Amino acid sequence: MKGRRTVLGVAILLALWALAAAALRMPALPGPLPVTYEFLRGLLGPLGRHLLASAARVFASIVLAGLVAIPAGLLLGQSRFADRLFSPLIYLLHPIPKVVFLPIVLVLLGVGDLAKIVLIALVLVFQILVVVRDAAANLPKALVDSVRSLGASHVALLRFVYLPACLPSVLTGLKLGASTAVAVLFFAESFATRAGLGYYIFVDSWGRLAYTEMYAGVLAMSLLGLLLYSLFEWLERRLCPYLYLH
Amino acid sequence: MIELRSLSFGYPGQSVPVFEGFSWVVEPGECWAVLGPSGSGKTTLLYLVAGLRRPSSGKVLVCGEEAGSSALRGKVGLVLQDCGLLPWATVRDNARLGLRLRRLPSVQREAGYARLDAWLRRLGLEGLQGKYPAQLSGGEKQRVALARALVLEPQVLLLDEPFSALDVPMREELQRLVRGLWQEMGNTLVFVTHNIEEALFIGQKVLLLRRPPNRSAHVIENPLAGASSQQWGMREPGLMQELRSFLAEGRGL
Repeated sequence: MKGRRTVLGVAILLALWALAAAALRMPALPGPLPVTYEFLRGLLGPLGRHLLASAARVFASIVLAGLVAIPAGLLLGQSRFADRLFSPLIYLLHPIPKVVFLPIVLVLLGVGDLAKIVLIALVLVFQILVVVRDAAANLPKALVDSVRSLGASHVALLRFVYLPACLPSVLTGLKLGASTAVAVLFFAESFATRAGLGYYIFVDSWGRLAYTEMYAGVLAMSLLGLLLYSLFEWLERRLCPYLYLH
Repeated sequence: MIELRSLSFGYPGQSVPVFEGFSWVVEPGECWAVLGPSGSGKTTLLYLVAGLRRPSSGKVLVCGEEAGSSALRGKVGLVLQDCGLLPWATVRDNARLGLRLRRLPSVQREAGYARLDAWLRRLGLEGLQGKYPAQLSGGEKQRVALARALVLEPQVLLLDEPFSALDVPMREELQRLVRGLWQEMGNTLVFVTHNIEEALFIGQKVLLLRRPPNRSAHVIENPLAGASSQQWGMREPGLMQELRSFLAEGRGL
C-alpha cells in the first residue's frame, strides 16, 4: 500500500514536471527524460564521483555526530547534575542555524573535508542529543530498578537498558536530520572544493549554464536525502522490531 | 534471613519519614505478606531489602550481608507490579537477562539456560519465547518476570503487588502458583499487597504497615495461609474485619 502510494506520488511529480517543461519550453527547465538520461549517464562519470564524495562526507558526519551526541545525551538523561549544568547551553545553541558557524569552522579547521564534515555533524549533534537525553530521562524508573535488582552494573544498565531504549530516538533524530544534513552539505560543498554534489550543481553545472547536468545533480542530491531517510527507516525496522508489532 | 535494625528512611522533600527506628526479622524459609494502604511504604520496604534504596540510618541485612552488597548478587529476586520487562527484548531474552548479567563461565551459563527452558515450560511460556512483552497478556508478563527471577535460584524472593492489575481468575491462579513454588523451593518469600484476601492466602505471617512514619512492626500470625476465604470466614471470623478496619484506619478513614 505504502509502495503503491510512493509510486503514485513519483508519477504525479514527473507528470507535473513534464507538463511544466513542455509549457515553458525554457533551457532552464529541461523535462524529466533528458535529466534522467543525463543522471544515468553521469553516474558512471563525474556525477558518480561527486555523489560518492558527498555520500562519504554525510556518512562521516553521521558517525561523528553519533559518537558525540549519544554518550552526551545518555549522560545528561541520567545525571541531573550534568543536565542542570549543560541544559542552558543546549537551549541556547540548539535553535541557532548551525550554518552561521561556517566561518568559525573554516577558520579553525581549514577549508578541507574536515570542516564540511564538522559543520554537518553540528546540525545532527543537537537533534540527536536532545532526543536521546529525553528518552534516557523519561525511562520508567521501575524498569531500571528491576534490571538493577538482577545485579546489573552501571555499564550493564547502559548496554541492556539505556542504549536500546534510546535507539528509536536516535534513529528518529537521524531521519529528521537527514534532509537538513543534505541541505547543509549542499551549502558546504558550494565553495572551496572541487568534489561533491554541491560543487557539481552550484559551481560546475550552473556556472556553465549546463541546466540538464544541474538538474541531474539536484536529482542525485534528492536521492541521497531519500536514501539516507530510507536507510534509517530500514535500520529502525531491523533493530527495533518491537515498534512494528501488530 | 532478612533483618531490619532500627531502620530509618525518608524520601527527599518529604517531611515525614517512611520508616523511623523500624525493626523486623524474617527467618529463613518463611513466607510473609506485607499489607498496608497506599503510601504506607510497602514498596519502599522491598526496595530497601533489594538494596535499591539506602537507609538513612540503621541496617538492612539479607543473609547476613548488607542489602545491595555484591555478595548478594543473584541471591535476592524482585518481581515488580509492572513486571519490569524490557519492551525491546523477547520473552526469552528478558528471562535470561539475569543469567547474562552474572557473567558466568560458559558451562554454568549453559546449565542456567537449560534451567530457564525448564522454568519456561513449567510456567506455560514455552511457545511464547519469541514474543515481545507488548504481545503478552498481563498474566503472561508476570510469569516471564517470575521465570527471570526464579532461574537465578534466589534465596529471597520479593514480589511487589505482582498480580494487582490482573483479573480475579488469573490472580488466583498465580497466587496458587507462587505459594506452590514457595512450598516446593523452600526459599524466603515476601509478598507485598494491598489486598487482604491475597495477603491471608499467601502469608504465614502478615506484616501490617500504617501511614508513615512506621516505627514498629505489627505482625499477625496466619495459620490459615493457603486456605480458601470461606475457611477463614468460618475459623477466623474476626480476622478479616480486623484487617479491614486496619486498612481503613491506615487510609485515615
